[in-house]
Amino acid sequence: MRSLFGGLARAPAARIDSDASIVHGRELSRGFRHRADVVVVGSGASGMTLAAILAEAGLEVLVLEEGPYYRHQDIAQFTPTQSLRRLFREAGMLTAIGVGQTPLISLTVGRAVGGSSLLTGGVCYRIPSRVHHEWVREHGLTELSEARLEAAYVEVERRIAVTEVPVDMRSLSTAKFVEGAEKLGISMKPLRRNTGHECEGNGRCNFGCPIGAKRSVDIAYLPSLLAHRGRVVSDAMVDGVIERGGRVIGVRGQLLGGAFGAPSHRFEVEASAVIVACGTVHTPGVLRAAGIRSYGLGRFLTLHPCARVVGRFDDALHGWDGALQSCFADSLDDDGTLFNSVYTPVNMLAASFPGVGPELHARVRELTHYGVFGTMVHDEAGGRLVPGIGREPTLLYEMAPRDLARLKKGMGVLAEMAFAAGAREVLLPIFGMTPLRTMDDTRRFAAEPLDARRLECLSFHPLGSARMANDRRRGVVDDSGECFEAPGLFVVDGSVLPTSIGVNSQVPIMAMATRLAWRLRDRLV
Amino acid sequence: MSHSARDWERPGLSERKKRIARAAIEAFLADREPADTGDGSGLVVPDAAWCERNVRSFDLHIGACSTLLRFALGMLVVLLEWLPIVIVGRASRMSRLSLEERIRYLEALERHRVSWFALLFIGTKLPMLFAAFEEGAPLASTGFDRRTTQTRRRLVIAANRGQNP
Repeated sequence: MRSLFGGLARAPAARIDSDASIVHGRELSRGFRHRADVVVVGSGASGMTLAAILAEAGLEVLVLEEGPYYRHQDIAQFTPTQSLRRLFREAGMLTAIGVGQTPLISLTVGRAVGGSSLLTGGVCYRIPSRVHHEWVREHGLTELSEARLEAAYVEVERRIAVTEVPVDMRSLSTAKFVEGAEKLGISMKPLRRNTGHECEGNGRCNFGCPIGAKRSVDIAYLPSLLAHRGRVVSDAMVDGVIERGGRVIGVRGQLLGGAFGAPSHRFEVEASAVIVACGTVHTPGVLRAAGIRSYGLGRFLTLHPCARVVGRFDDALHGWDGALQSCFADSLDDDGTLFNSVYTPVNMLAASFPGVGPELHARVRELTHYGVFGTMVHDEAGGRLVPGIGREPTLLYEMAPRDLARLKKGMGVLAEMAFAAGAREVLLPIFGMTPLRTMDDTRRFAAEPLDARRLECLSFHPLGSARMANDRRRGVVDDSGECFEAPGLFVVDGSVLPTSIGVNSQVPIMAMATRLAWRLRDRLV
Repeated sequence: MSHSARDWERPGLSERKKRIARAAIEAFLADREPADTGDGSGLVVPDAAWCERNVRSFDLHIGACSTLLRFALGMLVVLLEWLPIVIVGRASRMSRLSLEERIRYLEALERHRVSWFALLFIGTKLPMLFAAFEEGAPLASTGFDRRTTQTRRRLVIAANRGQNP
């Protein structure tokens, strides 16, 4: 029996002390021992997708989620700060530490039933063809070809109601940048999102849709899981695996979130298949606890570093009215840069304005006039995870000089778009930098060197810390997601992606989880 | 059980660090009288209840983090208190500076050429102000035209329906 933190396991009590299909672990008065056909660790985009498919096939599936469970109706009533504290890992302050000329990068990662799918802007891309080709040609992963994933893409997009965002759902903030892009000869295309035709444009997808239009996995998959032979235990953190005869046959851990100071309880779950879907940042910890030391575990992590550019216009834009994300430009895609429309909740935007006291207030009073747009880089694998103090790993990231140059170029292009559309000032995400006032300022910015450590950088798609490979010497899992070093232990989340993909990763991760679930179903049923 | 009853909230700051945070938040949120000439005499101290709400929110935010991050953020708060001598040459703690001096100190920190000082500034300012413009009059001051951040958008079609039943 192996554990993430070492130490001896205490024998848990007999059974789950609840008949509910979603058990709040924090409310259980004792631990439990359970047997299921499949145990899934993590309930985000990949874990929930796979769990629902296997439950629909008649298997008894138990999903263990470290975070709490909230109904989407409850989430819709959270203020942004409540969402940060209850749904985001590290209350929204999870950070990758920059090594060398690299900024600190703030990561958005979910920690609740539904995982990061609760926190997306709903954007749905497929993996670009050239990335599929690279995986097949250079990594020898024929299972990851575009053709093999086609049926899974179709299935996922049907279930989460992927539709194109109509032009009239664009906010005026987005429209300003589109206007500027057109003047610069950059063409904008409509994004596809998982909101069906129900989106009202409330502009707060990443903090909980007020009408439940965004089909995160708690809406699109969880009901089906529960209607079949699936159950979820929230507040259940896995910290070790159970092995028998050289094969992983279960997991064990502790229940979290009880009243302050109350003792936590232990649990054990045994199953025919053990699936790890804790996400790129936390899956390596569970695999290390299983004794896996494969090449690349916790390394080659990619982040898709993003930057947000804010422009002040003469018109009142009320950028919160409209789809949070609605269009994109891939004209610099060959250079590894993508532009996505986005907006930020007003209180977060206000807090992030430069200045102190009166200067800050002056900008806040003009907030309706500010528009926002984002840029994202298809990065090289510069990240690695090292075990940290306590249960959170430490994430180190060294940005490739090429990626920093791309990010800078992307910000420059967005500033040009803003000025072309009539912006009076542009705030670049660089601490202490004087706002740009003219197109000439933008050119000067492009010409001057950039101290990366002053950059305010974000990441929403950490990928690739337990890469898939066709050879145990080059990766952690095989093309069915099974660990080379631990038979019976499968990984299905974003950590298995062999490289960065350059686009939002929710649909690709769900499609890969769907394909792996189909293959597992064929083995188990 | 409702979600609110289930969500115990853990404080993350000692009383000493809360006092430091309160002093910083007061400076972040201070404003000027409309007719002020800019000499500092027209500074308006923000409403005490508003500052207290932000201190509480910051405290809970830190309490929701892992042990290591709680420690790191706590250290940033302590550094914020002791750095005036380095940044503006004043041998005083930040919380003992006058409001005007605190604002100058924080502005200097934000624009400091050493990037670590700028990071210290942003690393404390953002979580301290997450809740500042989230509800009530401060939210309205942003021009946000819904009652709360959770309120649905007022669609044009709904307004038309109201006028033409």
